[in-house]
Amino acid sequence: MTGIFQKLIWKEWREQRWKIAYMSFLMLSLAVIGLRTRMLPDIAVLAFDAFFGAFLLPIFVGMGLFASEKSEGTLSMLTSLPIKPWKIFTVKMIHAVVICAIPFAVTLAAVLFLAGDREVDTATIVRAYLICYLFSIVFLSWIVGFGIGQPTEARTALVALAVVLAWSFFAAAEDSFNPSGYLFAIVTPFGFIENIDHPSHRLEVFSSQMGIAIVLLIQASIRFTYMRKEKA
Amino acid sequence: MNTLKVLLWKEWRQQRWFLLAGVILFWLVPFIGMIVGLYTGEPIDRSLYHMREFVCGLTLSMGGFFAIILAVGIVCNELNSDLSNFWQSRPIGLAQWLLVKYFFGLAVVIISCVLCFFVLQKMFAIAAPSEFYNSDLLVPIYHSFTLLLVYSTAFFIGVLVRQTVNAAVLSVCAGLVIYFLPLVFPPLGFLNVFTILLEGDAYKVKAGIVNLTFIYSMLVGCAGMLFLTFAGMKLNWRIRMEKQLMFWSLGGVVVILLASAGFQLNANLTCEREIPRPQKQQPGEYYVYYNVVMTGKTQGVLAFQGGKETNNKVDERNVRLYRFDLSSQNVFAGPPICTDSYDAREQYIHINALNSPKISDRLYLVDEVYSKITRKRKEVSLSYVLLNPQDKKPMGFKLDLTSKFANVERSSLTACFYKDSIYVLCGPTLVRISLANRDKPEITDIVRSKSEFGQWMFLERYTIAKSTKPLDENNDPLTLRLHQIPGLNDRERLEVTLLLEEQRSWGRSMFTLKDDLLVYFEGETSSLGTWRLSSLNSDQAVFLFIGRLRATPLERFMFLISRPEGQMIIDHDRVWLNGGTNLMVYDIHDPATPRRIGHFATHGQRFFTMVSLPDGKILLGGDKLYIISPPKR
Repeated sequence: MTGIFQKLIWKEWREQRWKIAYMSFLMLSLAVIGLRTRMLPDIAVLAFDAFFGAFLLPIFVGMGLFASEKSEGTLSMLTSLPIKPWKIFTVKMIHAVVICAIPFAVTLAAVLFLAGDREVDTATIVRAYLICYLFSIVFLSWIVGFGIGQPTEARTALVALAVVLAWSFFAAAEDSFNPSGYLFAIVTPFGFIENIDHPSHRLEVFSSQMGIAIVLLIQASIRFTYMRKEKA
Repeated sequence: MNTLKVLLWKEWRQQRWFLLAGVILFWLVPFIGMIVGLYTGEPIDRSLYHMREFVCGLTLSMGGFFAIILAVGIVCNELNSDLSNFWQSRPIGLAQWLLVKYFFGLAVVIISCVLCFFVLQKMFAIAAPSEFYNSDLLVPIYHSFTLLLVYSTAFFIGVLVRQTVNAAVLSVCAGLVIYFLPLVFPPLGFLNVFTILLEGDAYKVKAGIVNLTFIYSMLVGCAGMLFLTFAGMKLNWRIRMEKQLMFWSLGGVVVILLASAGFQLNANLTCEREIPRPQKQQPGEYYVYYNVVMTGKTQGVLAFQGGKETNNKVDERNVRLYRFDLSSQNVFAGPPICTDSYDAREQYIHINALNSPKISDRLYLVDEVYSKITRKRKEVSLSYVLLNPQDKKPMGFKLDLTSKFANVERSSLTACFYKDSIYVLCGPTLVRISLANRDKPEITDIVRSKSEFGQWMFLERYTIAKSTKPLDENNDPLTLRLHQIPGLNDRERLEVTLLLEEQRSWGRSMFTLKDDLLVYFEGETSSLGTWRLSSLNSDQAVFLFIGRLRATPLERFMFLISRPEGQMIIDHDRVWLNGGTNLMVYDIHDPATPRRIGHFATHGQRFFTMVSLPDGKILLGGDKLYIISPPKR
């Protein structure tokens, strides 16, 4: 069993490692070009880079987790292995979380080396990247939660876009009906970013985001189990 | 049933979901937003205005993406399935099949992304005709053609690649190139939709002139893509690339575009010192530095304007004057020297603070009170504030000027200090106030021009450009008509006229004079020109052209000038240009070849005022105070 488990981890690593290289290259390039040329203030470059990663990374990773197995026809083989589906699901999700972390970590290290305490203090830079990383993880859980049944990567990407659009409309609706409320911050991962200005809600936002992410992942795990039964 | 009907029916069946998604995204959502706005008590014209802005942003950000998804989706779904084999076995020509598919998809794009904008514009024009301008049509006119090219390119790529994800990634690459390559590569600037949308051509649309070069280029591009699509299908061209290679291509395009932009814009100037605002007097207040007046080498007075918000509505506005000393660690020592607040629900106040090194013990203020409802000026007055800390009564007397500026309630007002007098200009009326008695200023002259406009010949450049005679800046002189102020010689008249005129909101243009050199920043082309004074008499000054620096499309996009905060200073052969959200520095050491040597931008902050410090640095005021060192030449 341990052998299969290790092979599963190895398989995921082999399949996903180019994504780490790709996203690290993109985020690093944006940060290095922006900070070296100093075309904009450091804070603008960092905000752009971190948001870029926070939005793109989960879509990119989420697309390839389950939909690619389906479209390439390897899901049947994977689910027929003598290992519980929730373990397969967990291995994939741990990989996804790690894949999201590495580009952020690599870029953060480069940013601190190039512009730490130059215009923005180190603590703020670290906090900004950490917040964007948390955002990306919660966004990933939304993509997996709503997109696990999709047959192709393109459709999973569309689900991710639909999620972002739904958040936007939610934000607009709350702004119209209840400008002083913070339901949007509680429900969507934008709460992490809004927390920078309103640290008093930090615990509520963090716990609600984690709660939502866990619920979405549990339901995705259950659906994944049923997918195996359907295959059978 | 004929073949065309069959094909149309097939396309309808295939594309109706895309149409539904487009209608929901670009029609239904704004419509719901408008209903919500009306429900929350917003007037219908405001609600329509907000929706138009929302649709504008949505189309610009999502329109291209929607066109790519649609084009790739309809092509790949068909060519990548057995359906294509079935249709190829039918007696239907390739051209017919292709054209029906292409134009049906095009119709979906236009109905979704373009038509809604025209409908909203029409509704807005009916609801608020006084606020509707032809320039508001810029987005639907120009961006539609970019959308067509993006759609056509994605359609062609779909035929070549035939794998949905791969085709979509490659189409996004192409879309980035279409949108951004003309921005970073100056020779392709005429294809750049952003600068057309953001500035300049608004004037031309107003004048009924459409940028046909751009439109023709886009249409030629679309026709070329359609032809290539036909050839690709006929000759069975295929691109077989790994998914990873597609993504790396996309990454490469992004990095190349960004690197080109970064190295073209060059370094943002480092802020030497950033000074936060003084402590707020009450919670919930917000403030911006509105005016900075230097009273010594490092001392000066800041005029703050701010307000207090309740439920996102400003109820109260405050004006405060703080004394500052830049040489001190604690820049703002002591409480404000003057505080004034007023009810901002029905009116707002604009303050022009004036000071002369000769009169360092007081600050003169020209106050304008506007009605928030009618947007008309209700009151103009001159007052002063004593700057001596020992004075118990800081606010001095008030001279009412309202009756002098009757019937010009909407014209901009400017004021300047010049040789013991204050000059206030509004519309065609110029008032001179003598400060011979500092405690009791009095009006000495009132000069009325024949008309408000036409001081500057180059304001008539639009008219010249429209006429049959094209503008030849090398030979056409620039003529400034002078204000006929009694008691001043020709040079003094020129200087006062320039001091007053340079503060007026002439579109996004700015100018200033040093000795005989006039520097003129032309807003509609974002170019900096230099002109030499050639002749001067009591009526007019004539300037001859020396040189010009034209901004690249990227510079025009990044350094957009937002008046009325704009301001220009010449100091040691450097021109500092405050564009409201960014500061640009030009070297005019050789006036024939001006060049940009630096810029300073913050993250979303606005700059309202700028003064030159004795040590050559610049003090910039907005949401904070910034001290900027001059860049090296």
